[in-house]
Amino acid sequence: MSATTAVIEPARRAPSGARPTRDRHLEAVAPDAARRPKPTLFYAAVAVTAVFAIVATQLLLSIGVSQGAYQIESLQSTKVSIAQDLQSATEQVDMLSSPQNLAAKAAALGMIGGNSPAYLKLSTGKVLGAPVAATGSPTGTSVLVPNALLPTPKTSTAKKGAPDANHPATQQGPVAWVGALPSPTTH
Amino acid sequence: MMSPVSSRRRAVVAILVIVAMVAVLIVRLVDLQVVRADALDRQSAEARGAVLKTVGTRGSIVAADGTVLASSVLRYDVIASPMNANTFDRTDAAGHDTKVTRAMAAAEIAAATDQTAADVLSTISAALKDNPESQYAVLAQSIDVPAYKKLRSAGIPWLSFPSHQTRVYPNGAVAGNVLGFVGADGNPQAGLESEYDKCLRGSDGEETFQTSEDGVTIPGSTVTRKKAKNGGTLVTTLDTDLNWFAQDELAKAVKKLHAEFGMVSVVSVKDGAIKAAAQYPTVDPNNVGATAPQYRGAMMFQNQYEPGSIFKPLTAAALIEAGKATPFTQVRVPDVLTPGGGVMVRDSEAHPTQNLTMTGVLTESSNVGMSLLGTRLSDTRRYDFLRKLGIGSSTHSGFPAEASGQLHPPSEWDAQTRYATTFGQAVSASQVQMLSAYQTIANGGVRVPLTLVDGCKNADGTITSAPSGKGTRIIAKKTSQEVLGMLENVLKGGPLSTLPDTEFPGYTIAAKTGTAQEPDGNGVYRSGSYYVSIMGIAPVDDPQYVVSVNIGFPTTITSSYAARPLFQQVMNQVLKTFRVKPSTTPQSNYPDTY
Repeated sequence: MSATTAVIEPARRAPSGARPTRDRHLEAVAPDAARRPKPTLFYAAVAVTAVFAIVATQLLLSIGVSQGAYQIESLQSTKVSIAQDLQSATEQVDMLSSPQNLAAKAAALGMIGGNSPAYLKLSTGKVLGAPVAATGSPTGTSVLVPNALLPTPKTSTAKKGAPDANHPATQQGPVAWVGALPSPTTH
Repeated sequence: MMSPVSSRRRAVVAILVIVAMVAVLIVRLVDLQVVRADALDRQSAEARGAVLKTVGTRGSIVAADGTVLASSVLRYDVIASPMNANTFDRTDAAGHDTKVTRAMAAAEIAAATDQTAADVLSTISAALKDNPESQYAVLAQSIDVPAYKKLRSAGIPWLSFPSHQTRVYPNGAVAGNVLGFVGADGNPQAGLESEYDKCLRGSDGEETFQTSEDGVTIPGSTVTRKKAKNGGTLVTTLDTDLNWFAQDELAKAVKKLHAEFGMVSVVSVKDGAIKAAAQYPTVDPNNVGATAPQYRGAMMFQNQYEPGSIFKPLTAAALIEAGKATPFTQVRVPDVLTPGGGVMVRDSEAHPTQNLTMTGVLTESSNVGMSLLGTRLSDTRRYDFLRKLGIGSSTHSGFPAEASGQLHPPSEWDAQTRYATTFGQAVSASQVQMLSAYQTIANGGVRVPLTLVDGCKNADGTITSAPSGKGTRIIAKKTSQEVLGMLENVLKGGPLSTLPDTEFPGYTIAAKTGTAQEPDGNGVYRSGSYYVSIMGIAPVDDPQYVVSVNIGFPTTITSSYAARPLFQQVMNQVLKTFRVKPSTTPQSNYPDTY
């Protein structure tokens, strides 16, 4: 096998005889060759700096992202907690606004359902029906339409007579106005 | 030296082996990356991180005005790990450590879960007695959010709080029978919950993610494998407050009359919307066990009764429609009719022979009079007319297991049935069927299918299952007006009227009373107790609402007078609630006698 190569080698060398001409050509710019090491150093510095910059940026980004992850985690747990509060408050409102509860509270305030509607007919000025006050006693405390969600009515009976936010103490005479009198803003 | 042939063979073998190996690898690769990719991905996610089930919430059921009638909420169970239930250190805000013993923790748990510390301790020690390495003891079930938060902030390390969805009905028994209820497994068991399960049911999703050592999700690792889908909102036609009022008054009336049960329903004439569906006894879906099983359904849809005299206007409409009678048609009415063939029809009270118009027959609610008039029309035509009004077939108002009533074809009628069907015996109907027939009469003869549901608002905003609201003309407008005109006299207070002095100032109201005998299940009618009812339409000049009041077998008053105060209360409430304008046109004033 080596014999074959040996035979071919000189033949290949033959065109390489042209090299000196190319070299000579390069020689013309030979004085510039002295500059070559300079850009190499510059580019190396740039490349190394870039690598460091990339590494540093990536590190910072990664720190940022993980910081974000903790923030997301904490915000998500806040969201869950708020959703729970919302659910609980909604449930409470729905339950308190149930007609059973409202009727019981109204009865506790001494309110009676009126069932003798009367109408004033404007065209004739005639009164339809008898406009009389409702009579009877409040009966709303007995729960005829059950609601297992409502607390047993011990709370409403315990409060009877005692003034609270829903059941203010009776006041004699007109209510005195507190603060500046409200006036409309007109232009 | 190898021959060129053997060298080529070697090369071929080598290539074949390589190709075979590559093929095996490709098959394996496809198997892993494509065929089993999902399963393996999931396995790896499970091994490396966590799989989270995201919950699709079951939708709410709301009233026409948006009041929530049923909704799903989260509840928490309190699970202890008894073998770890030992003293732990608690660090407060100031950084001080305190030792918390099992007994101290038990007291905190007991305070939040409405039991005593002894209960909590005994549950734990019982679990430990069974198995000293027990990791599971249920201390409380389905606690609500405030209790859960309280316990959670207590930071007891040997507790866990798995959550689950529960159904709550904030208005309790208001329309409870119609709403139905959901079992502990989350599957609906009755009512709208069951019929519209497809609308309400949500579907759970699944997410996988990886966590760091301290439990924080690694950014970018979350993969949603399946999105959770919330259920839709079912919008009903009900009015919560009116429904409550009707239930409350009905409960008072049934108790006062020592009756078995009662039903009150209100239907809007123009669109067939059921505005109230009250029943007593009623079920509170929050506490189903408290109600006897036979009253857990919605009787207005599911139970059928012989309607009795409230059926007579249907016969009258058939006669007018066929041109066989007018409100002024005269008939001589004895108190007992024996037309032969063993038939005997009797009025509720003995009376001398009366000269009544058809209006008078309805006002007086005379069985004899209605038999004489009703049989003027051929049995087949009368039967066909009743079928058209929906008697004998379900109204398809969107309620499960709706009763269809019983109306046999004329070929199966015996002589007595032929007469009895004119005044509402030997035929049965559910309350909703009678309401539908009255809706047709009230709506100028146009039948709009009764509906309980306005539609299903899906999570993506689309609305499905909305009723068509399309009406079908069953009877002529003139017929409907004449029937309503005749029914004005029932409440007028003359000597014949069945409900004297029931006043609705300013409104002209058409009504019909019924005192029906019901079969006792042994082939004869129950004696001495009746199914009493009143159907009312208001106002006659522009019908808006049909009110149906039914009381099952009252004992202190057995006639339709029993239902009168309740009818008056409910009708007045309906007129007030919906701000119905008083009547403006004069009444028909058809004569009862001649």
